[in-house]
Amino acid sequence: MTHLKSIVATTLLLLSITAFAQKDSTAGEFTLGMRTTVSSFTDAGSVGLGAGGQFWIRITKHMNTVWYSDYINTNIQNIGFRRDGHIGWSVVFYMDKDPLLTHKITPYILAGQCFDYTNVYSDYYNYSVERWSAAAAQGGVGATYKLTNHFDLSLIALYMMHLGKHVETEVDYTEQGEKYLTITTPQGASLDGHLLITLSVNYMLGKL
Amino acid sequence: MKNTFLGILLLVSGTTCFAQSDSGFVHKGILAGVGTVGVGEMPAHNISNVYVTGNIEYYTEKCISVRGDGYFFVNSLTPNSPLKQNSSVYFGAFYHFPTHSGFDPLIGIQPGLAFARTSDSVNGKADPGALSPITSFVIGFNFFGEKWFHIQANIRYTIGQESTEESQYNLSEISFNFGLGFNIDVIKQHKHYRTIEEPTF
Repeated sequence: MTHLKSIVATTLLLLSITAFAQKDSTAGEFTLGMRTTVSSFTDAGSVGLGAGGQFWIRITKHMNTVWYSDYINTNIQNIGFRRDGHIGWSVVFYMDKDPLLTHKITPYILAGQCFDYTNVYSDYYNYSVERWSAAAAQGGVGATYKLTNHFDLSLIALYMMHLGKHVETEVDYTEQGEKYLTITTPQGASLDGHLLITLSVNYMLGKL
Repeated sequence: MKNTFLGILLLVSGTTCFAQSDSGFVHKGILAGVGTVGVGEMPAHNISNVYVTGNIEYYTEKCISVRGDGYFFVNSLTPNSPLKQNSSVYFGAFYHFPTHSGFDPLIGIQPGLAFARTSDSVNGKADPGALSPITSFVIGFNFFGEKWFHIQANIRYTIGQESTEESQYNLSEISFNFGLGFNIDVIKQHKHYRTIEEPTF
């Protein structure tokens, strides 16, 4: 865990230095957006839906940052639910020679960290578990399509790992065949997480 | 559904805003507001609901606007509906297909939040309701037939789920609203004021 944090911190430091060394005319572009997120690969195959907002602050021509907040709700097979709150950021690296041109799809990779709140409830036990974690890391790929100079659509797929305390859910069956949800809170950290697919609309307001 | 939506947007965006002539009413700087009544149908429960709705929209470009909507739940039209509250707010962006008239077809995405409450209860404890994240896809049109007023119609598909300890209720709904709106030209007025303030020699 310590190694992972060190690697992430060092990478971010180096990237920051590189970023400011290459400051150009696109630096400081401020973009505001709304986002909708689908959460999957968690909670017995149930898919969650979330809404949130974000802003982007561009550092260089090929590097951007996105700061976001999400509230995600997952109905777990009608036997419980999960609520997730995320506040985080990612660094975005554009691979195109000329990224973010109008009427062109710009692919990118991104990675970052977020603060994570989770609340899971089981109907059967009438029991819920809450957890705060400041140690969630995410990485993935995305693409932005600019419809105009200021307006774009973005689609991002991120895998988010909860590196801190985690909450596990499992669907079990009673002897009568009735489904119920079991919630466990194992000790220690794990790499469990979920895939987040986010569609957002963004408008560039100007430069900071 | 999202893929289809994105595909449609990518396809239509080939008709770029900038390639259009300046004919037609729609342009950057329009600030519009609408208040009206909407009806919705929840396919998962086969119930219909009535809302008082309103929105404020600003055209940041000729073909792009940002818009916030509010839906205030009035009641369910279906007898014995368990839904007692389902008010929501949305905020997002719209793409306006370029035309050469006051007709302004649009398509948009609006995430939001809904406050929903049902008559469900567990062990005598009633559902207190909860704020739930929702997302919606909208198609519709504005028709600017007069300088200050326009008519608007929208079909919205909302996806969401209320989750409380007492109730897990699917909020997915297709809704329709139609009404009269008011609009002003913000940029033109701004220029007008600047002209007055400039000294003349």
